[in-house]
Amino acid sequence: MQPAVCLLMLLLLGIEFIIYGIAFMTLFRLKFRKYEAGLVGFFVYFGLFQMAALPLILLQRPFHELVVLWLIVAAAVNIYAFAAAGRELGAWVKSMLAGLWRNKGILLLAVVLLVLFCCWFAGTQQYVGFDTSYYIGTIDTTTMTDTMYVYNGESNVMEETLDFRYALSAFYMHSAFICRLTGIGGMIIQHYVLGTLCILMHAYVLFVIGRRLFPQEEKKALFLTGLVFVLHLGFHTGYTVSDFLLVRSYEAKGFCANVVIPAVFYAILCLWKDRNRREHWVLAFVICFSSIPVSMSSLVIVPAILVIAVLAEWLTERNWRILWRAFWCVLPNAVYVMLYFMYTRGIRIPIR
Amino acid sequence: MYGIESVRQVFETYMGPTAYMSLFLVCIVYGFCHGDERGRKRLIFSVILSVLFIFNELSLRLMGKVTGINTYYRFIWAVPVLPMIAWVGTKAVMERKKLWEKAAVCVLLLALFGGGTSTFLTEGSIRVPENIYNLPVDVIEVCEIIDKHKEKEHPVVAFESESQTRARLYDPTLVWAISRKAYQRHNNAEGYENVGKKYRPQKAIIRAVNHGMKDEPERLAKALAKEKVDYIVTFSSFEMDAYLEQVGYGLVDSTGTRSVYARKENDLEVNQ
Repeated sequence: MQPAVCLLMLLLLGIEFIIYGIAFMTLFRLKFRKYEAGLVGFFVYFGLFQMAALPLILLQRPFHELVVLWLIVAAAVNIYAFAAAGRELGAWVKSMLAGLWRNKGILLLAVVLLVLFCCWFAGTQQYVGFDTSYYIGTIDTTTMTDTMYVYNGESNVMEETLDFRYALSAFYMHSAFICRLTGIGGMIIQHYVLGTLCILMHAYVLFVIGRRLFPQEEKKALFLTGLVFVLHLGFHTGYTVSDFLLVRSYEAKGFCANVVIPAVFYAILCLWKDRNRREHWVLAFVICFSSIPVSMSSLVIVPAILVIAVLAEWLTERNWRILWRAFWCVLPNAVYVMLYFMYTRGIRIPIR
Repeated sequence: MYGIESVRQVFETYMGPTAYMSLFLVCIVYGFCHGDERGRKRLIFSVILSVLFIFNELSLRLMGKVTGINTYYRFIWAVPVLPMIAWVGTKAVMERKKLWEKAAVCVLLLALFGGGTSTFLTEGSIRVPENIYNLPVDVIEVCEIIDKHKEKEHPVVAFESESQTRARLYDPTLVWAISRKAYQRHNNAEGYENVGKKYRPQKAIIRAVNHGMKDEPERLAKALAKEKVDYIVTFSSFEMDAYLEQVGYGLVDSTGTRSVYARKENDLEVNQ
């Protein structure tokens, strides 16, 4: 029963990302490509979840309030998407099916099987470190105590202050939300649902990058995706992106290395292609805004990548406007950096 | 990544024995040679700015102060090593016209990238989990023993190091008696010369439960009382029954490799 529920949750999350992406595009009248909807949706979803969760975490409200709030927000977004963008949703499904049909063949089959093998491989790995213990412990402690970051996730001992190293990102609270919804423990949800999601999202982002690098050549994009996965299988040193994909994909760090950072690469490719297109800047902003909600590891890395890429563009084109736009993109992370810096300097929120 | 002293060391440890870094540099050169003028400029500026802002010794020290030097390796994630190699690889394979050429380049790429000393696909890595939790059966049995015996909702447990990280993944009601820092800093059977006052009781417990030391019953008894330990989980091979009996803990049950001991007052209360 539990594996079936995990599979269902995975499917539901995928559908939600599409719905959130299309609702966002409709609301702000953005014209993204069809294959970009899931990418935008993934980041909008986690960004919105963070907006709902962070105030409640900082106010040390009970976890069930977040569950109720997020159910209301999710219902509102879904209703809006079906009411305002029902046609777009239908067109998206048609377009995806047509894309699959267009690319039918051995290459598609091989890439799909390779990605699924990686999902299976990651699901069977037994790596457990102190980090694993902390993250999954945090999820279970949250559902068990109905509190958020009040107890230490690994030891179950009450904290003296909110630990901003973890509490500023609501990623694991989202996993706890799924646990509460399904009644399944943190180990299973995180290991199988989120771990698999990380690998599938990684494959998806790579495909999208491939589409950008090889416009009008979907087969090359598919090949690129498959090739990166082959490379992953040969890149095992303990710290690589591949380790965080094939062994520790269920950790937020895995999402940072394999979803957030490749998504930033994609946003940069878009900006370098056409720096005047509004959608490209919106995509960069959404990815940066939601990078912390997905993983605290993004704190400095994501703005650093964007700043370097934008400065490189500025040095090439000498266009001041891009610096101003980039400033707005990295602003959310700058706020988090300040909060975290204050925390390290001893300005902390005591547990009530 | 621990024990880092330089950026070069970070890169060497990160890349391991793979040829990915060299291939990546080759791909950069390829990108430079085949790109347009704007592309070349962006590439050069990106490399220069990356070295200027991130990959230098000063940044290593500065970022180490903000986020911890052990996490500096994550900045290498910002170098698109695999996508870059795959981009050139895709062009190399997909832009061949004849099928045999494609196949030949494909085989060459797989030979270059797919295996070697850093592959994930080793004999031990292809496995089927013993249970849906993907945890050792022994650890699950330990949790079950404590669950059946406990009378507190959140018992405090002193685990040997392997169960320590796994037990709460199965039963989150358990509370650690030994902290992560104590285990990471003082997990050895040596004395207390370099141990701060704060960690001394936990160090005494680690010496007993994780190293089977039986030379300081009084100190251990005090430490267990200070940390309010309800249960002790240690390796059966240490044969700690008599020693732990001496400090007030009786054997509850054993699994294949581990033994669970409970504080004796606990038993008395249950009997009453």
